[in-house]
Amino acid sequence: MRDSSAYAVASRDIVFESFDGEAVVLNLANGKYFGFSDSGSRVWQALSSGVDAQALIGLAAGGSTIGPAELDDFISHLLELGLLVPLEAATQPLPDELLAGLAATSEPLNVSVHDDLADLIIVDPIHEVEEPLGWPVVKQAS
Amino acid sequence: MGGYGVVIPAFNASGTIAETLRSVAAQTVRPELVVVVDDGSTDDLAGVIDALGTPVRLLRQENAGPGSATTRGMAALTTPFVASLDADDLWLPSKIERQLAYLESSPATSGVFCHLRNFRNDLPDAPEAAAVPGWSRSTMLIRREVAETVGPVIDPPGGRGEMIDWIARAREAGFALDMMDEVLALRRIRPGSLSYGRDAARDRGYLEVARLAMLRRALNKAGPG
Repeated sequence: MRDSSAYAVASRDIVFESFDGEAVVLNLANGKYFGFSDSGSRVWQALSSGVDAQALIGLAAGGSTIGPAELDDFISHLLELGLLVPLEAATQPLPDELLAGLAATSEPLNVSVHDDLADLIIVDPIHEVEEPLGWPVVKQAS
Repeated sequence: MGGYGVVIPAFNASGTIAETLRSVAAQTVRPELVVVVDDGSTDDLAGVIDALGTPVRLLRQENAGPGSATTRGMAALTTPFVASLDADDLWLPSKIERQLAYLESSPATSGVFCHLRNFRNDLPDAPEAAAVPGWSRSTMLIRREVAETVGPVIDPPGGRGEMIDWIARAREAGFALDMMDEVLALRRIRPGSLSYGRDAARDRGYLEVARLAMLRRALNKAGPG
């Protein structure tokens, strides 16, 4: 892992929300969605808001402390899934509420991938009308 | 061939409802009942429908969302088959005939959808435009027991994704839902309509739908009781 490692959400197709501390992430481009363990939710919240990953190592979470290898695996998975990209920019401090939230978690870092709604989500016509002026390309008979 | 009823939730749709209802009236197999559920509109929906003179049962409720209005309309139908349609979309004339024939020939199938083609509010329909599988309200024809078993169409916060949630629940309940390759419905695209463009508040509806799917999965894994 690099000395300083910050990340950003990979694209505007990646949307997410925290429901009472439980993160849900959706890739609008392929309809896959992602759920997290309790500690995974907090770490996603931290990373997606630009907190330096290094700042998370050693913190109390999941009934233990976050180890560098465990965190590296988790982040690698998020990168592979196309949810995060490395960011070369100033990092954000870890909010106190996230620190407390992490300490209260009981599960190891984990993200789960689901594609059961994919066919329903990706065909929604909203994804084909991104630009009002660019759609539809109708060839008028001349 | 069994009879069907139509549910059309409508919110401030006075500008499009006439064209939508005409596309229903033009079906080669006529509906037994058309229910329009006015979801707290502030425009003259009733006046427009009256002026049309086509037989419609108009129900009214306080604004509660398209899912809620769809549920209300479904409950008002007793026909063996139930179709639904957004108040700004259109059916092609053979839509229901083709779908009823499909269900008649496929008794194990509980509901059928079709491809749809987008058309822009300010442009004529372009038959060469790309069609997509329409897992949506405007393409759906189901056997009534699906609606009775799956229960209400629930509006997620933000207003988008209620049919995704409902269709997912129908699948999880074991109902076979098929997609026809034919284009039998047209979806109107216009700035300001609920499905146009993308914004964070509406994406939240999809995220809520995903969250609910995961919660159901966790409950099923835990088993009853």
